[in-house]
Amino acid sequence: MSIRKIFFLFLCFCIALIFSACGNGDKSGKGAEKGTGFPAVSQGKDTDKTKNDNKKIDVDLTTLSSTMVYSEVYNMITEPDDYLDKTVKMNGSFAVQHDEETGKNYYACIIKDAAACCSQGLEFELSDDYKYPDDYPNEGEIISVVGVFDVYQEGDSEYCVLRKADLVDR
Amino acid sequence: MPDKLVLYLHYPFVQYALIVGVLIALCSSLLGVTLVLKRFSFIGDGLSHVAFGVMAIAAVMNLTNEMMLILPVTIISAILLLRSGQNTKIKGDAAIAMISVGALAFGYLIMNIFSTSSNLSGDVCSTLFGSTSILTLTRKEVWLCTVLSIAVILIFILLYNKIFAVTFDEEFAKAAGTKADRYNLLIAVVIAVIIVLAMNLVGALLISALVVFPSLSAMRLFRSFKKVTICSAVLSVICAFAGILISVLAGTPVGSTIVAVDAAAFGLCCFSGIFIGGVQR
Repeated sequence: MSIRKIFFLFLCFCIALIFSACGNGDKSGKGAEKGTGFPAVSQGKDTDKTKNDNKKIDVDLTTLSSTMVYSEVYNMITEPDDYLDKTVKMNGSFAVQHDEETGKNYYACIIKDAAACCSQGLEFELSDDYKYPDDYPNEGEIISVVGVFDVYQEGDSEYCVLRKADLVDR
Repeated sequence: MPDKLVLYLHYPFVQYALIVGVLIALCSSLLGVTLVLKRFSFIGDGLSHVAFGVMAIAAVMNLTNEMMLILPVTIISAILLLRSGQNTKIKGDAAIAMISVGALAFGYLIMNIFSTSSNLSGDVCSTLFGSTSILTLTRKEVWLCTVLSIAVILIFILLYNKIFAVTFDEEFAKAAGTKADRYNLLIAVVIAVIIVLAMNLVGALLISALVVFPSLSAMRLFRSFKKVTICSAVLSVICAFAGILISVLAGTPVGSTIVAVDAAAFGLCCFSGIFIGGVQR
């Protein structure tokens, strides 16, 4: 066997090693559905740990890597029509902002990209059973929220929100 | 792990990233051989910083399509930097350094003074390092990148012999009747287009890696221009593909992961070149 063939086989072996490099080891879900705009739900092994998990999750961001989560949320904000009325589950840090003009509090789940220099998030609306600040987490606390994706108009801008949201265990 | 990979590959933005990433890597590697041989390896940095500066201006001007401003200005800068055979008071590397740092500083200053973003540091970081830019392409951007990449590849294939002649011996090419100035101009335009596209893949600061690493890796193994070019293209495509997949699986920034894979491939090729005697001592 010539030297160049040996080198070629060695290169293929190295590439195979790269592709089989270890990840989290967690098993994701059932694979993708065909014909949908986004893959199927990844329920994983931990569904028994979640509370209020009666909803069928259409977009589960909790099983994705940080790079994928950031990109998917970006996609949801720029192409919201593809995600309307879908049930979304996401992890992130809790943020609250009070708007003096509208007099309302806005609650959001913030995620960061892999380099942690860029962040974005989704606003969510909990049910009326939740009262701020007693029933809400502390600002900056890591939360897991499930809600139905929707868009609304306020002023001249359009905003994305998770309605009928619940805080669930991670 | 394979399940997760299959799952991720069904996301449209991952498919877009792979398609555009592979095309950009292919284009940059093809021209990379020419740039490295002409001792213009850092032109990628210089032009990307110019593009960054222009992007800052476009953002301040609230242009809906920033490419309308970025592409022409970057092309003009490439033409000015790559002029050959003319009396220039400021020579190649000094000109690149001057334009590069000047544009970067100017762009960052403009963005700070006239900031329209709620997260300036994040926007700058993402543009400079390409952490997720390739994964947030719109369909229009994908089409634009695809069309431009195919145009670059076709130009390189159709004009391969002329590019080869101008790269290795410009004076002889001129003496033989080749219009070397026109081909230098074409190379400058093509390089500018590739740089603007490649900023989406690896960010402004890491572009030189896409240009330099595949070519140098191939030069460790082969000696002829054609073999180096082909090997460079294959390596660049494989590294970009692997880099994107590793970054989405491991949650790492895309740009630096691709460059890390490129660097690892260079190391591997150096070792292989010594092993198989590809590099003469």
